[in-house]
Amino acid sequence: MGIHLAQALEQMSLPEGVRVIDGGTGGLSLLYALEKTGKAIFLDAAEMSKDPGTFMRFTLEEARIAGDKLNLSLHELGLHQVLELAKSLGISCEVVFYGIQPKDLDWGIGLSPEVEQAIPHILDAVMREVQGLLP
Amino acid sequence: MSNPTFNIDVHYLTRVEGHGNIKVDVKNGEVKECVWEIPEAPRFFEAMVRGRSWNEVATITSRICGICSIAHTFASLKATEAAMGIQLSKQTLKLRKLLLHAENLQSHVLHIGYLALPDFAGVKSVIPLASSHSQEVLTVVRLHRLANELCDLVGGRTTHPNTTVVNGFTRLPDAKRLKEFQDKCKNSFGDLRAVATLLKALSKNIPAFERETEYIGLTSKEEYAIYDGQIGSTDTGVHPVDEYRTIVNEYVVPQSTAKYCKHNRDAYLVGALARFNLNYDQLSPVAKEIAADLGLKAPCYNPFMNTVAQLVECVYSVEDCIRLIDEVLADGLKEEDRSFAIKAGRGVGVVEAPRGILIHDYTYDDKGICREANCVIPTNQNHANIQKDMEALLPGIMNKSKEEITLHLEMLGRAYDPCISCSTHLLKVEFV
Repeated sequence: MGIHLAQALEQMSLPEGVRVIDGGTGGLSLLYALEKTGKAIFLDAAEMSKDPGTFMRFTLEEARIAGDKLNLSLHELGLHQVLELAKSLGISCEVVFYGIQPKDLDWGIGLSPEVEQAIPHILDAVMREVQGLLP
Repeated sequence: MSNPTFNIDVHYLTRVEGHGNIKVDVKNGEVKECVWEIPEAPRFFEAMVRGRSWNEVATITSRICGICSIAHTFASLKATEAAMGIQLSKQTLKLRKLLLHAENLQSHVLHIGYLALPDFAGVKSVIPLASSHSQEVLTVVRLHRLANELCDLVGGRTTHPNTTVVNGFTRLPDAKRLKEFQDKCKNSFGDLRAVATLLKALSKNIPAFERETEYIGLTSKEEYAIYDGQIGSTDTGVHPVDEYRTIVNEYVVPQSTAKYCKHNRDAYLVGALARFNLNYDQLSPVAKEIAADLGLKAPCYNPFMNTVAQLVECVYSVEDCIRLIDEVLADGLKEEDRSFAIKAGRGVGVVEAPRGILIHDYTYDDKGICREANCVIPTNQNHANIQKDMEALLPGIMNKSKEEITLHLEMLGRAYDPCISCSTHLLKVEFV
């Protein structure tokens, strides 16, 4: 899901100083992205027990991110571990999540109609947040 | 505790890539079960590339792995180039070696610093290590970032390179940035030595276990082989890469969705320790010095020392990057003609991935469409050896506490730096 949102954002006109990063299964490479960043907005699928396509904005303090319970992370450290490591190493970057409830995590190509319909609304919310960063 | 009875069930070994289980059952000192089990779902990549064009195959197979995507890209490109009869330019060859070193460094630093050091320091993960050894973790972070920068510079991005294609590069690295990177390499020896010092200080926690096995990897008269060479075995000598099937002899076992391999013995080992044992003489000077300082001598039969061999290879990669950049800059970077004639044929591409020898084998039709594919992954080749090591390790540690036995077995699995997701295949069954 993240890659669809990243590609959509890359096509939009973003203010100077805002970068879109396709973190992939990035693990530690995200640590280096966080190092030079004041604020990071993470966009991806999140299992939140909501209706498919529902999206929620939350911070690290507002949500407890489970470990690799679903074991969907392909490589190295998971996101929560990277964020914990960044904190231990004194990397101070404000972190915000936009979690989108997926319909189906099975093998397949493309997004479910429910998630597809939610994408413009998610992008709107993210763009509003990004605009809010401007002085 | 002379006749211990205990049961160990590590469901998903942590700090490895993918899913591997360890199951042990000992009753009155007798080992009833000791199994390294791979339950990971198969990946179907060989089926995915069938019917795809020559210019899509490397992009697809690069996705087999998020850590060794560069090695997969090169094994794939080399197989395609062998099938089409393409001879690479010296510039392409040097830039590919540079990029492969970047991945070797990136992957090894990740394993040493983030996945193995916590074991040696007696903590659960790198997170507490960042508090207790913050300077050392920051050193690891710097080295990992250095490797990432070279991947970006030559490969176009950190993983899954997008500049390297059949018969060349779509975009050449900037000469000025290469020179700047070379300076960073020259300044990184302090960091490499700092990691060596830490590893040495913690080396008392590296188990003193030995089991001699067969060691297999690329070998070359020219250099400490990672990109090119023939298949070397410590038991049987040198073999042409085209004969890889007689080396790997893949077979299936009930406990694993990944295939197992064997050659001259019931198992063999690939990876940094195998390369070190095969090609030690060709290592660069500082790499040899660090190996000596850490007590690593060829041949080494202790699989736990694979992590130390990885650090030695990190030093070699940095030294060789400095040399290669000198050569590339002296030659002058220039755009080259990448055209070639598509033809039908079969090609085998072999490189050393961080975890060991990696083989891709493709057959193309006269339109350049891939009709057959076979990929043999390093971790596949290590599974049988991990199993044999566990069987040999267990009797000698049976009088330790259950927690210590579990930790030793986990550390053994982790020492191989296994990339389990890459290694899983599915057996094709036809009922008659």
